[in-house]
Amino acid sequence: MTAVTFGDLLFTGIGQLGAAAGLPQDSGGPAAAAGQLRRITSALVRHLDAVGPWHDALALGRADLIWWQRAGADMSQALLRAGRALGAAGQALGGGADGPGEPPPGWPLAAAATTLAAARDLLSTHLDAGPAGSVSGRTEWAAVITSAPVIRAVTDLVASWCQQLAPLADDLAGQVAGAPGAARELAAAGQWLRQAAAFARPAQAADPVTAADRTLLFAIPLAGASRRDRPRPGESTAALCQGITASAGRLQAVTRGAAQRAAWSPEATAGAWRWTATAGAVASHLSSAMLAGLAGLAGPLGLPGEDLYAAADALAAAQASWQQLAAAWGLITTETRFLVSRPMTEASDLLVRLGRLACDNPAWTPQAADQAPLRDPAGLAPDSGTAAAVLAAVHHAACALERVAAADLDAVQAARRARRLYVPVRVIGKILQVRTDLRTIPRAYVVAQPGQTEELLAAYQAAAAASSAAAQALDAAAAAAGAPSRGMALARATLRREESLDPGPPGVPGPAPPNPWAGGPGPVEHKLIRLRVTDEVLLRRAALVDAAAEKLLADALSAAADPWAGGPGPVEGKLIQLGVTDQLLLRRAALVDAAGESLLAEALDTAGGPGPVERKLTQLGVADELLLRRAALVDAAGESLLAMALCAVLDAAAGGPAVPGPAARPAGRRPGPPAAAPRPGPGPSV
Amino acid sequence: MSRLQEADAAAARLAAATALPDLLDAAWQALDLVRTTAGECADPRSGLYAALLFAAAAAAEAQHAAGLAPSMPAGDAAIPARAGTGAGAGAAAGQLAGLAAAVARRLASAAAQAELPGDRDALTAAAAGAGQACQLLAEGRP
Repeated sequence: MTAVTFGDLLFTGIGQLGAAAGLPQDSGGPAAAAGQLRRITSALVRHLDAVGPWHDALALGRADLIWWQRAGADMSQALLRAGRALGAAGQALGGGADGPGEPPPGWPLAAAATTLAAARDLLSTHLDAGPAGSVSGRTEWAAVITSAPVIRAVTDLVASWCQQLAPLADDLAGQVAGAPGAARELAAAGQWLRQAAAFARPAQAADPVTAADRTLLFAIPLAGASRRDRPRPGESTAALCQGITASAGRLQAVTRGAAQRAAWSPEATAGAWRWTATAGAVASHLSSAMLAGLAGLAGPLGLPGEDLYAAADALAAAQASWQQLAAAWGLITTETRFLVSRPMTEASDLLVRLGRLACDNPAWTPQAADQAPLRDPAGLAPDSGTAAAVLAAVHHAACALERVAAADLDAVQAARRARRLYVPVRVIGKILQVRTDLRTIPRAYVVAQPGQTEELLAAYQAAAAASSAAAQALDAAAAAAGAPSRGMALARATLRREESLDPGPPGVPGPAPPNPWAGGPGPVEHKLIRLRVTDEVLLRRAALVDAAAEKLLADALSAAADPWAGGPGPVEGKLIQLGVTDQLLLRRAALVDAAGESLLAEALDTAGGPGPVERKLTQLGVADELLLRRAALVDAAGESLLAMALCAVLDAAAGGPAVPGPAARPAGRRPGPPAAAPRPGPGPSV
Repeated sequence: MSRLQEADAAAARLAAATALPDLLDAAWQALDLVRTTAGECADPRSGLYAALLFAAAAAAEAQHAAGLAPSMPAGDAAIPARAGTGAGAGAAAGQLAGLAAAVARRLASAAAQAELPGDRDALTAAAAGAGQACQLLAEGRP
């Protein structure tokens, strides 16, 4: 069985929303329907939050995402307001203050809310929540989820759902015309939903979502550890392909953190590394042979023959590198005797199924007694669907081997640094002895010297490079053939692009990221503290917004020709005119000027206009459109956060629902609606 | 001396060893021959590619296990310079399977009589590794 993907849940949710459209009366009455709509808006906010780079100050305001990050921040605010209006409507209609509760089965709206919440939860299975709201990736997909294509696709989808939900809120408002308070709230909710959809329009026009963006989003799988399914003799081609895919996924998962464990884990042994290198050679050989066979049938099966031949050649090169690596282990060993490790178990299952897929023996094992010739390609892939499935299985296996090679390279380097690699004294030409308690004890093994491990590490680097080349050749072949693994190919291409945006390669220290905790709280965090917000997640997000603003200002300062073009303030200027040179007086004057500036800024905040970061840039004379947009985005993120915090504070004070909704206009600039969008009316809950 | 002749010589040396240090040394040398020859004979065009590569890995583990026996002689191992294998994968696999089987038998038998626990553990582990190499290389089912 293949893993559930985001696309699976999404299409189910879309169908349920479609069924609910025009039938809000079938949702258990207006109060319950309002409750379900509120659940949906909450799920949509969480979608935007999942892909938002709120946990990464460096990603906030990234130049290639200006439009969509801004749209997401504004839509999030509009959805929160819609949610609050829906909550108020539900209460006015006699619904519970704590939301709709567990909906009875069969309501399309409730089912859609549940499905959309599940879709969002699927995204979060790739992320690990750390202390104080920090987020780290659990899988390779984590970086894909916050990548530009997925942010575009998710934000665009949320906009389309908002457009779809707005008429439902209007219908409900019409149904409860007898309850004016509730009708007003529902109408406001409809307007906020339309407004949310409208916020996406500038981004949709400036940076359109592509089909590849959506394909990538739909392909995001559930990150769940599937249970091991041992190979059984006589499995069908489809079962073998699914088994290979599952083993490849588990293999990639268990190799994470290998380098950290290599210094101490008894499972990290030379025997296990040598065995894995051997498995890599055999798996690459079997894969290469199958692809070469498929390439011979490319015409009749409608497969990309050249891509398949290229992938087969790349796999043959990888096979040679792995074999060379296994030999390079020679007599090098670790102090711990060979133990079967989890990566070995997964690699073993993968290898056995690859052998049974490639060879004419349904009970193939690496033993000489079980060897068999390669299967006739026409028997292996009698139709294009089976050929694509085989290609996808080989693709998954190659990607897993790429990961294993890189992980083992890191792990062996770590083991060497930890002085865990040994060579037998018998072969190094001398016997080293140590004296202990007047006895002389000959050593059987000594720590391998750098010269003795150079060849091994070079072989690992070669295997890692060859495996990576093979996996990339398979990315191209899978994409060209439309194989089931083409989503993974897209994800890998996205990951490579995202990695190329990193300030430095992994392991090489790049420019230090801004430390959000340095120098006390910034302006956004300060405002949250003044609001008596104690939520660690909100405070951390505020600190990150502050850090992003600080980084932006630093960028602007370095870009500005003369950051001090403004010169001294009026008080300091007057002192200079008077010929005052006393540094203490001048400094006090500068402080008075700064206080006046701050006061003006607060006054401007209240009056509307640009946000604090954008205003600061304007003051610096920055005219760069990109920098100004980034500033506006950081301001919007701060504003969104403040709105959320304010709602949480007010809800807590009122004992209201746990899901925050805006209750008052936050300090700072109101997000300007696009010209084409209808201006929302004064929502009662705003 | 060809690899196959070397295998015959290694088997003869193994058979002639009576004292435990001599047996360990002979087994270590025989396993070294299995490891290197299996690795070099592994040709992806041959059906025995997987068997030979995994047998080389198993022999390496057996060799390390034997090397940890307290009774292993402390002197340098006399590993001869080896020419190319000069044999097909099938012939090499058969010869190496026989040699690995002989190592496994002798080491298992010695383990039963070893006095030092360290020797017993090392001999048992080395015998298991040699047996695994033999199982991988044997064409027929045992």
